[in-house]
Amino acid sequence: MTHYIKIILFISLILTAGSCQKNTSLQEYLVESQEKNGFITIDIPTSFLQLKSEDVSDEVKATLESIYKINVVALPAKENQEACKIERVKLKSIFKKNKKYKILMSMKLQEMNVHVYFTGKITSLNEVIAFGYRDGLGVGVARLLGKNMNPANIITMLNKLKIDTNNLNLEQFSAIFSK
Amino acid sequence: MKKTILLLLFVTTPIVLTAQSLFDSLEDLKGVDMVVVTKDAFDLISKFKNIKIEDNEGMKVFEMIQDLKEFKMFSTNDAKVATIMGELVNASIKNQNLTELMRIKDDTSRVKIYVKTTKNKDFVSEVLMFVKGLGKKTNKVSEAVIVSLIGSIDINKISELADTF
Repeated sequence: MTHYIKIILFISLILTAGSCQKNTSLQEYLVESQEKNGFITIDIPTSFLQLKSEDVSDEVKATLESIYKINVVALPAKENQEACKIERVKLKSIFKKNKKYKILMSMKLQEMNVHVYFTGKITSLNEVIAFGYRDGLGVGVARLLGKNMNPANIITMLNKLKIDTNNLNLEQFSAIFSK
Repeated sequence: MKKTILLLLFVTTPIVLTAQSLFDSLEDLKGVDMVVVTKDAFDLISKFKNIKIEDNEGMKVFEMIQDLKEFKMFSTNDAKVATIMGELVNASIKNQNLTELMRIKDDTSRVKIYVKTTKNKDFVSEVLMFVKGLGKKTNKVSEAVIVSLIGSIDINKISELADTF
């Protein structure tokens, strides 16, 4: 009896391991796109928001530390309509095949499509992703990456924060735009 | 006995699921504007209780309804698509066994609201609203809006909803 159970467990383990094939994740897509021609890529780490350390409470610090960065990858249609279609299909497939990407909302207004996804849990988000495309305009994806981000805390933090614009490091800012 | 029940459940679940996604085919048509908000999004919004959010129709709808699972809205200014929408609405009514709650008619539009009743008289599990706009001269369907709500909805608040559209 136990012998059979062991065989069944073993087989199911193999089957599940096999089905966890490497589906391209969004992270891989974002990295690959850095090298491609015609793509606009933006990478903003939250350390860019330099805050006066006396002004912030520990809670705000912790909340800010939960947010790592924002990535944006976009391909304008003027570069290549065909390429836009290919990228759109790739991205759609990434979101469809990977169960970790959960849909938050979808919108289509005047032929502009936007889908918003997240990973993790609603109270403990790891990524928030906006995927948009429009025939003739292009395709793009923006991702907010963090770890266990709590939306309520983030909103509270944004309300409390006063970003001193004199302190913003503008040199850092221009460096993040590539191509 | 248990096995037949389980089997029945397995067979019927897909039917229920596909009915909900009846309107999804509209997404790919040109000339259709659409908004779909999932339960997770409503959960997320509910976390922002103490924050002032710009008042828009979506928020009004959410505030009026507790335990909402899904909000879908499709609209079009294309007469052909409007006709398709009408057909999908009729199919959905049959599929989901919806009953008519109210009908409103004025010079340029027809509004029909259907619901799926539950054991509790004050609540319905689904609301389907179909607004047809008629061209002034042709008196034929020229535009249409479908609003679909799934969740636990207070019937008394639905007429307020109809006003916002």
